[in-house]
Amino acid sequence: MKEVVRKDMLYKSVKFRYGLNTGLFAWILHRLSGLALVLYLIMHLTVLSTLAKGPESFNNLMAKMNILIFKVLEVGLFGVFVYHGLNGIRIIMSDFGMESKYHKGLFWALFVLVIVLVIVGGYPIMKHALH
Amino acid sequence: MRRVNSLIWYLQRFSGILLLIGLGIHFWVLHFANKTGEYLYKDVAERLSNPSWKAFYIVFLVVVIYHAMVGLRMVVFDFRIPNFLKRLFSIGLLILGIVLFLWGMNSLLAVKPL
Repeated sequence: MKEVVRKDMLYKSVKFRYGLNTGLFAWILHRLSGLALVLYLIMHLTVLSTLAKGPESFNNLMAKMNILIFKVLEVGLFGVFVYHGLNGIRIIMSDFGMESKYHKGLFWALFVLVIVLVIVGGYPIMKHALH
Repeated sequence: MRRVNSLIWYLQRFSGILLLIGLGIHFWVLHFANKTGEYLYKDVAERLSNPSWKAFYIVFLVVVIYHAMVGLRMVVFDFRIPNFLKRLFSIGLLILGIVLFLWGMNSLLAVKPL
């Protein structure tokens, strides 16, 4: 029996194939986290430029930034960095053909590791702000 | 050009690994080894008075700027844009990278021991 392929079915299958899968999700997050880190780099260099204005200028700015909201943002930044770094390792492994079989599982394992590391690394950042 | 692109690609991977190690050290010093939770000029000055730390931060600055600029290049090159715009963008990133490096170096070298 001849199989009839309807155009709308074909469209649906193509749409499904190019939907948001794990690889695309990881790729988008890697790009977005990278852009966020570049933005942070420029902000960080701006803050550090007060070092050239002397101790008072630097210490005053740091004292202003030693508040809870900046600590929360710092933990968020740490999370972005950890994700970008670990996913970068996954990309390198993939580039050299080391993870193709398990790439989905590896991505979600990486995601769990990011959450664990954010909790472990976020604690020393937050503890001074909370006490 | 293909060889240059290949070298850029390899260096992006290598700089990424260096950054993971460098940022890990930087994070450890600022957050785990820091008992007060404050960031003070005197601590930065004390660290940078050690030539090894100064060398570490200079290398770190070069690597982070390289990785960031090549990363931006990769994001933009994912889009279909004419070759002359790609070249123009690459030159713009090179200039931005040099400016950021000089800016960072100015801060690093301005720190004097108290």
